[in-house]
Parts: sequence; C-alpha cells; structure tokens
Amino acid sequence: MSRLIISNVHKNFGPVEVIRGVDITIEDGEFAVLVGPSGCGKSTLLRMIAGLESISSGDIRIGERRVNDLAPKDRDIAMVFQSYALYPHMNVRANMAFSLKLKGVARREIEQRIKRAADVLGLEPLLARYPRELSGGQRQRVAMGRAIVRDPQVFLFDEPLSNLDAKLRVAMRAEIKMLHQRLRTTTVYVTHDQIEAMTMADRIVVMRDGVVEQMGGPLELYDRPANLFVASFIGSPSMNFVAGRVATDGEPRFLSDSGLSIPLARLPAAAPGRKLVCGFRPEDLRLGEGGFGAEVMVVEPTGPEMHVVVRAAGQELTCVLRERRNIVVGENLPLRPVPESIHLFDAETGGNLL
Amino acid sequence: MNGKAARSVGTIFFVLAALGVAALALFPLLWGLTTSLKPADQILAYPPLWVPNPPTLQSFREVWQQSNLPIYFRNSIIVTSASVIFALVLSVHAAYGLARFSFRGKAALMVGLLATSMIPGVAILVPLYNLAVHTGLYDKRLGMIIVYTAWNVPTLVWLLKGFFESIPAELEEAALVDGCSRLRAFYLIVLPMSRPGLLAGSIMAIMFVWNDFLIGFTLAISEQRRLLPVGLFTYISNYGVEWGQLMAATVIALLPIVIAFFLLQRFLVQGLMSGAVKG
Repeated sequence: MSRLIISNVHKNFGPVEVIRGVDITIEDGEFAVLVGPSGCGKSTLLRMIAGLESISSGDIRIGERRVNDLAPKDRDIAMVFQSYALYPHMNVRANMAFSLKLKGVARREIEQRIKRAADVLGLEPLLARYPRELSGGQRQRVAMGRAIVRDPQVFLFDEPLSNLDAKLRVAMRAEIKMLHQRLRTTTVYVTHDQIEAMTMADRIVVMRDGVVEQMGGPLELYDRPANLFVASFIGSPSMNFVAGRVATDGEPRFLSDSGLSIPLARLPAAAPGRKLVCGFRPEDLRLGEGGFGAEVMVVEPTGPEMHVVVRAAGQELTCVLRERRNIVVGENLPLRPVPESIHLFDAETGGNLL
Repeated sequence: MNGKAARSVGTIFFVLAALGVAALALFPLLWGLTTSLKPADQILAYPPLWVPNPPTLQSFREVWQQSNLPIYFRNSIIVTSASVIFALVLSVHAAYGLARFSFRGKAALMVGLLATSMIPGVAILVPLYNLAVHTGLYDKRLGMIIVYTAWNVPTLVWLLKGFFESIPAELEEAALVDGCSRLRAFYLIVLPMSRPGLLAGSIMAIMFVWNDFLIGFTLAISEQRRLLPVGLFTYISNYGVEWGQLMAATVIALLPIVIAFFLLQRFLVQGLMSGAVKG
C-alpha cells in the first residue's frame, strides 16, 4: 500500500504563508494532478512531498510511514523535474543506474531494470548517449526512465511537459498516462495547464493561494465546480459569467445587471434578493429562441467546432457551436444557455448555489 | 573604400598589432632560450649572436649537476602541489556553502574574503616572518605551504562560487531524490560538472605559487628549503651574473608551467568565462 496522505499541512517562507492547511488523500495507484495558477503553492506542496522543502506544520505520510523528518533519499519517491535535471556528465545508462548504484543494487539487477525501463520507453538505442545529444522529447523520456527503474512508492512530476512543443506535449501526455496504467504507481503530477489536468488525472486538486479549492474527478470538476474560481479555471474556452439577480416573479429566470434575461431550470433556495453570478459553458450557449440576441464579434473555426465571440447587452460572451453554419461578423444571433447546465454563484463568497 | 575593403584593412592592422605585442612578449623568452644554449664565449659576444653556434647543453648540465637547482625544483614542486591541493579542498567546500546556502553575514563574509585578497603581499611580509619564527615554522616547507594555501583561498572561493551557482539547483535536487546526501550530491554531481572551473582555478593557483618570490624569500633561509624563484636569484652574485646558467635554470623553471598551461588553456578560458557570466 502506498497511499499518500497530506494532513493539515502548512508552509511558511518567513512571514509569508504559502500553504495554508492542505488536506489531501491520494489512494494507492491513483493519478492525482495538482493544478492552479502560478504562485498557488502546488509546486511547493510537491517539493514538500519530495522532502526538498521542510514542512512548517502538519503531516505527510507515504504508505505507513510519516515522512516529515525523512531526507528525500529515504522517502522512496522518484521525481521528474521540469528541466529534466539529467546529469550532464553521465550517459543515459549511467543516469538511469545512478540511484540503483547508490542503493547498492547488484549489477545484474541494475542491467535488468534498465533494460525493462528502456523497453517500455523506447530508450534502447539511446543508452550510450549523453543528455546534450538528445532532443527535448528524448530527455523527457530519459527523465521518466530514471524514475521508473527505481520502482518507487510514489512518482512526482513537476510540470514535466512545459518545455516541450505543443505537438510533443500531447504525445507525451498520452505516453505518461499509458505508463501509469501499466505500472499503477501512485502519482502526483503538478501542472498549471488545466487541459493536462483534465486529460491525465484520476483526480484533480485545484489549488489557489495555498488552499485546496476543490478536489474530484475531471468531469465532476467540469460539471459541478464548487465555486467561481474552479468554474473559471477549468475549461477552455472558459465559462461565461454574467452578474445579476434572479427574478422573483413567475418563471425562474436570471436577470443580469446589463439587462439579459436567462431562463433557469430551477431556483436555488437562498437566491432571491442576493447578488449572484450566473455561469454557463460556451458549449451550453446554443442557437435558439427564448434567450437573448447577440452580435457576432469574432468567429474562430477550429475544424470540429466554431468558437464565436458575441456581444450581448454590452457584455462579451463566448459560445462554441458544433453545427456547420455560415456565421458572419456583425450578424445578430438568437442565443440561449441550456437551463439545466447553468450555474449560479454567490457573488460575495463565490460558492456554487445549485 | 567599401565596407569589405575597410574590414580587411582593419584585419591587417589588427594582425600586425597582435604580432607586435606577441614579439614584445616573446623576445625575452627567446633571448633567454638562445642564451641558455650558447657556449660560454658567445654569451657576451658583440655584435650579439642570435643563434648559438653550435648549440650546447653545457649550461643545463652545470645547473642540474653542479648546483642546488634540483633541490629548489623539488621544494617548489612539493610546496606548490601541497598548497594548491589544500587550497582547493578548502575552497570548494567554502564556495559551495556560499553558493547554495543563505545565512547571516554571508555578504560581509564574501566582501571580507575579497578584501583580504586585495592586501598587497609586501604589506604583511614582516608580520608573516614574525609569526613563522614564533610558531617554529620558519625555514620549513610547511610554513610556506600554509601561507600559500591561505593566500590562494579567497580568489579560488570567488571563482568557484560563481561556478557552482551556474549549476542548476534542480540537478542536486534530483540527486537528493535519487539517494544522495547533500555532501554526496556535491561530490558526485556538482564537482564533476565543475571540472573546467576546478582546472582553471588550479592553474591560476599553481602559477601564483610557482612564480612567487616574496614568500619563499622571506620564510626560508637555508639552501635545503629554497624555492625555485629564490634559487634563480642566487645566480646573480656579487661577482657577476652567470648568464648561461641563470638562463638555463630559468628555462627549467618555466617548463612545468608552460606544459601545464598548454594542456589546460582550453579549460582556463572556459573556466574564467563561465565563472563570470552565468550559464
């Protein structure tokens, strides 16, 4: 069992508190992604798990052991760094063998493990090369190879794909996911890219300002964001937001301050009278009567769909249309958010009321 | 004149100027070399003979077999290698500490190190002499080794600190996760990667100790403890200068440095550069 438990962890750098009471349990074999804007504390938290930063208060447990006071080398973890951090004066084979040699693993066993990892990652032809002779994607793969030969209890990834070009990033994303499905090692993966988080994670942990905003499966976060921050952070293009109040007469509808009228499926109990923010995903803003008219500002065809930026009552909204329809700039479109997919957030606390 | 022609004229001037400077620097060496190879009667011949005729190793034989030059040579080898090794061992650890850890008084310490290396040697000769006499280190190789070690440490620390700082911290962190202690990560990862800096630092330190006259002259008196530069001085006596022997001894004294320099010059330039500008 190598469950990772982070309980009530705090981290101070001098007077600044960068991690403010984080509780996360990552189950054995789970792929967890820590995601958030830069400065949210996700990398610091990962480094605390690795033992590269001290823990100001709280506990971190890996498997049965409390690791707070253990040196990184005694925590049975492997880490892949953003810069890959391959040892430049050693060839690929020596890079992969380094940790095993330190541990005193027998030479034959080292050879076997390297061979196995090289097979999995396609590194066989590169074993004699030095890091400077490798491309970015190959270095990335060697960094992973160095991690997997160790067969650790937990893998830690610190933004491992952010130095790769867009195409390679998508390929490596799939490769890491496949690797995880094969090895089933508990994994903590840090990224600022919510698409990476959505595509790779069993569970996403969204962080902001040193606290966990929400934890859950990718679609759970997408469909039921706990608050305004998560709603705006997850999803691309991001959710549309309109400030206003609910109408108190007749049918349930949302009236924006700018004058839009949006039909709702139901009313939250605490809604009447409060300042609210109404949120709906771009793909939930559909063509159809009963909503509002909007002027087309920009049309961005992506192939499978069309991103259209419109202006309605002075407010810019994005909608994603799947139907192929000739849309011209300046045209007036009738639009209507799908009532079942609308979120209402408290304007003050940001909490989701639906 | 078009741009290309102007450039090539510029290049010609540059090459001429470089040749002039090189000639100025090399002439004394060449003159010394030819003098060392001349038979005694040709050394002071007028007009001067540029090429010895016939060249002879007579002066070399005399200084190597009939003077104390081998003793001086040996002393210089011992004092130089010991002091440079000690200085390196001390400096790599000090420089690493200063490069990687922040602690109270670090800036002051760095300035202090720099300041001590700015004190001219002559200014502290007399105190050093007194100190050596009182501690029983006068006329001992150990005394000179200690002083040269101390003398080299500040410069080496500054040079190596810049070097260590240019090595990404992530590499050490990777080593820590891979199973190293802090010190082991330093020895297995940081030091091997700093080889150009270590070589550049050592050759600077070697040249300084090997060439220095003042300390060797002040801290040792007997023939048995004399260093090479001081030994060379003895060929200039009250009764005249033994030019042939002096030049032969000088050539012998120069050889190790010239050889070391040619072997390591690649690293020297690289070392000074990467210490100065990061990456």
